[in-house]
Amino acid sequence: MDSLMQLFYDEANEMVQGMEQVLLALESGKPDPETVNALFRYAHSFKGNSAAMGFTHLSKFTHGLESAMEVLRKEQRPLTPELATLLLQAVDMIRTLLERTRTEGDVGDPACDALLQQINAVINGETLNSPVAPTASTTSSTPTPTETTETTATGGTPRYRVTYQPAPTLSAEHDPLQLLTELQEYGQVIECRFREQIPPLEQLKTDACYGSWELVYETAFEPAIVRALLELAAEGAEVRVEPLNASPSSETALPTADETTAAAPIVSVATPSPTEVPATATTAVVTATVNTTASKGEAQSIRVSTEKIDALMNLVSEIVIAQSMLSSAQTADTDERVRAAITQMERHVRELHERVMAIRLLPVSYLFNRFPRMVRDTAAKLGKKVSLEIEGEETELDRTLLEALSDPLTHLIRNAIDHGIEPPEERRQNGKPETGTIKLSAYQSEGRIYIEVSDDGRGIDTERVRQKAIQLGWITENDHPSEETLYDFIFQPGFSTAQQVSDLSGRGVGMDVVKRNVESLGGSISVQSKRGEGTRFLLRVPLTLAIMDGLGLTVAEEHYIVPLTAVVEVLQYGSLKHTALFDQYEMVNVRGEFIPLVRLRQFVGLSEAESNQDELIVVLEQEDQRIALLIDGIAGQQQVVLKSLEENFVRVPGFAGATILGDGRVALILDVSDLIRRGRQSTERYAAVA
Amino acid sequence: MQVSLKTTAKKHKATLSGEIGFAETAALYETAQQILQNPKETQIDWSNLTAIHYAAVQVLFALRKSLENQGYKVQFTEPNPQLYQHLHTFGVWDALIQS
Amino acid sequence: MATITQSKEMTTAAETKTDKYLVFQIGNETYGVPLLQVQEIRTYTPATRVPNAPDYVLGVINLRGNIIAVIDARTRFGLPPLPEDESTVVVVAQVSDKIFGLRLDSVSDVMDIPLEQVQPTPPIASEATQRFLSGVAQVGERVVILLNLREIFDIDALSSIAA
Repeated sequence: MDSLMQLFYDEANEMVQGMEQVLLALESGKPDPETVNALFRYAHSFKGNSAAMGFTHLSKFTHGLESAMEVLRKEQRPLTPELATLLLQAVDMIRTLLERTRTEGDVGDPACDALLQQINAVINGETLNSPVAPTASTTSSTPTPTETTETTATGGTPRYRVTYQPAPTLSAEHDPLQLLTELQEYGQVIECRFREQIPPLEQLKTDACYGSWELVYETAFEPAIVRALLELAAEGAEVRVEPLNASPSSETALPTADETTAAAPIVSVATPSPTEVPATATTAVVTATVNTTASKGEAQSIRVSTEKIDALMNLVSEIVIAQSMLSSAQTADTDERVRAAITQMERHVRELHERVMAIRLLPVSYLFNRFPRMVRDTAAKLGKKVSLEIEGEETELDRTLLEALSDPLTHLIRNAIDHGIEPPEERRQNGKPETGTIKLSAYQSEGRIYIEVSDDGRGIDTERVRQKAIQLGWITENDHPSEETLYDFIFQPGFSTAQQVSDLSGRGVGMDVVKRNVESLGGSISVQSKRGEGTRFLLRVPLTLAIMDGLGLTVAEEHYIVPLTAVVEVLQYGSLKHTALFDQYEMVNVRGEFIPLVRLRQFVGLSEAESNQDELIVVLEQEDQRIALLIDGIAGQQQVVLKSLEENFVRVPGFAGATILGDGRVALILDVSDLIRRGRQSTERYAAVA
Repeated sequence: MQVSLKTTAKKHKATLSGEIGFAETAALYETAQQILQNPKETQIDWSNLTAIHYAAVQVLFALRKSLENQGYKVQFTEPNPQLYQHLHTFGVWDALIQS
Repeated sequence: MATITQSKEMTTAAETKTDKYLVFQIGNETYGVPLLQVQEIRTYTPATRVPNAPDYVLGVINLRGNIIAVIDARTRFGLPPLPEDESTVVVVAQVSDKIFGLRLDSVSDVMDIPLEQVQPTPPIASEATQRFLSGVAQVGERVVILLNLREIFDIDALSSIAA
C-alpha cells in the first residue's frame, strides 16, 4: 500500500476513534458545544479526506452524518440514548465501509441511507415513514437574524461565502495561502475551491498572482474582520464576504458528491460488527497530528513507522551491551584517558537509552480508549448497568506492552461485567446502586506499572472456589487453604469451567491464559476480593521491557542477575541471627525484623554446600514484602538488556528472562516475585502455626 | 531549502526539501526552466518539503502545464502530511495533481 | 500431442526428486535432518545451565543477541553424553517459529536422499525414542535414520518445567 493510502487509513482510524470517544463522552453529560464541534469537525475532515481518496460512498455517508451533526450542534436537539445508539451505529458503518475500501474499493452499503434517515428522523422527532433528505431540510425552527426563511435549524455560528481575489503582486509578505491559513484561526473552512489561470512556465511571472479562491467559511467574527484578514498583506485584494442562507447541502459552485435522497422504506438497520481498530497501526502515532483546525498550541509531531523505531531500539540495546563489554574490559592498567572516556560514554549511552525508550512509551489511554464502548455494549447485551471509571490514563508504558495487555484486560473487564457485577434488581436488593462500577486505573511505582481492574460487584465466593478445587481433585474436603492460595487456584489451567467461558469471554480465554500472558511480559497478576463488595485485580508489568540495572550474584560458579530496584541491602550472613522453624523454614533477623530466608543454591537446583562465614545475604523487597537471599558472592552492578527466554525457549519459572554478559555468556535474571513467593511459603506456615 | 535536480535518460527528478519561501521561488523557477530546456517525464519529490510559498506553487503549476503541452507527464510524490493539509484545505492540492 | 510429452517429462523429474539432508554420526549410527530446517552450524560454546530443565537441555547460549536453548542429541536419545572436543558442533535449527541448537559429536556432510528411498521407521526403538524418528533411508551402502526435529525439540513438553 502506498504511503498516501496508509496515511489516509491512519488518519481515518484516528478520526473514527475520536468520533466514538466523543459520542461516549456525550452520553454521560449534557452535550458540551465544544465536544459536539469536535464531532462535527471529525466528520467534516473525514468526509474531505475520503473524497480526496476517491471513496465517494464513504464520503457521502459521512457527509450525511456531518449534516446531522450540524443540526445537533445548534443545540436544538437533545442527544437521546436512542440517537446516541444510532450515531454509534453510524460510526460502525464508517468502520465497515473503511474496511471494505481496502479490499473492494469504493463500495457502499444498502443500510447507509436507511441509517441516515433514521438518524435524521430521530433528530427531528419525526415518525419514520416519511423519507427525509439527509440534510434535515424540513420542519421549521426559529429563524435567526442572520439567516432568513426556509430550511435548517439555525442559530449558532454563521456561514459566509467568501470570494478572495488576492492582490496581483506576490511578495515575501504576501502569500495568499498563508493568509488563508490564518482564516482557520478565526473560524472554519467548510469548503474551498481554488481557481487558477496560471500560464505555462515560459509566460509565468513569478511575482504575479494567477489564482483566486472561493470558500464557505464559518465564523463567529464579523465579516469585516474576515475581509481585513485577507486584505491585510497587500493592497488591491478583492474580498467579498456574503452571508450564506442556504442549507449546507446547497454549497453552490463548490463541487461535492451529489445528494440523492433515497426514498426507500425503512428497513432494519444492519449493525455491522465493529471492525476492531487496532490501537497501533503500522505507523506509530507519536502524538496527535495534522488536524490543523483545532490544533492551536498542540505540539509539533511527525509520524514514524514502527519498523524504524524498532530498528533504533535494537541498535541502542546493542550499544548498551557493547558499552558494558567495554566497561568490563577495563583493567588496572587501562589508560586514564580511556577510563575517563568510558565513564563519559556510560553517561551518554544511559541517556540515549532513556530517550529512545521514551519514544516507545505511549500513554495507557491508547489501550483504555476502546473499553468505554466495549463496556457499554457488553453491559447492554447482558442486561446489566455498568459505568466505567478510568484513572491514570496519562501513565505511559512501552508500546509493545500496550498491545500485549489488550487481551488480558479485555478479558478481565468482560469477566467483571459478566460474573462480577450483579443484575440491577439484585444490586438494589443488596442496597447497592443499580449501576455497577468498574474502575480501571494505571499508575507507576517503583519502576513498574500497575494496572488495576476493580469492580463493586459480588466478589469472589471463596467457598465455591474451594469446592471447585475439591471437585478437580486439587485438595481434599478437609483442606482449608488460605484465601491467597484459593485465589491462586483461579489462575490455574483447568479451573475455568465451560459455563464461565461464555460467548462473551469468547475463544475460551481463561484466567490462566491471562496470567500467562501477563507473566510472559515479565509481569504478574494478583487478586483481592471481598464477598458482596467487589473484586480487584492488580497487574504489574515492568516499565521498560528492555534495559534495567542489575546486580550480579554468584552461587558456586554460576552467575545470576537480580534487578537492582528490588535490592534493599547486602549483609554478611555470619553477622545475623538466624533460626529455622521446625528445622525447616529458615528466617533471618535483620535489625529486629524476621525475614524469610531463601537459599539461592536451592532455588537454582544446585546441591547444598557447606555453610561458610563469607556467605552474603541480599535483602530483596517488592511491594512491601521482603526476603533474604543467601548467596556466595556479589559480581558487580551493570546495566543489563533483558532478553526473553520465551522467544526461542519457554518460560522458566523463577526467572524473568536472561541477559548477555560482557563476555558473551548468558546469565539468567531472577524473578523477584517468584523468590518472594518461595519465601512466603515459609511465613505462611509460620503464621498458620502461630 | 534545497532544490536539486537529477536527470536520467528518461526522466527528471526534482527534489524539494526544507521550506521554499518567496525568495527561493526564483531558484525553483530556474530549475523548472532547466527542466523545460530538456523536457522529459518529471517527478517532483517534495516529501521533505515542509512549507511552500504560493508563488512557488504557481511555478509548479506552470511547469506542469508546460510539460503537458509537450506531452510529458509530471508526477508528484506524496507530500509531507502538514503540507498536504495546507494545500488540500484550500483546494490547491486537488488542482495540482489532477491532470 | 505436446501435453503428453510434457507430462512424461514431469514424471521423470518426480522420479529423481531428492531432498538434501545434513548427516551426522551418533554412536555407530548415521542420522540426518532436512537441510532446509538447518540455519547454521557452530562450534560448541558452553551453555548456561537452566535450573530445573530436563537433563537433555544443556542450557542456553547467545546466538547473535538471541537466547536459544541447546539440546544434547546423545542425552535426548538416552545415550550417555560425551565430553566435548574440537569436533563438537551445535547445529542451529528452526522448528515452528523457534530456534534451538542441537549438540552433536560431529557433522559428516550434506547428502541428497531420493524421496523414494525413504521408508517409514520400523518399530524398533522404545516408544519414547520412536517419535524422534521420521523415517529410514538406504543410500548406497549406508542406512540413514531421519530425525523429526519437532519431536526432539518438544516445546510443549518443555513448557511444563516444574517450578
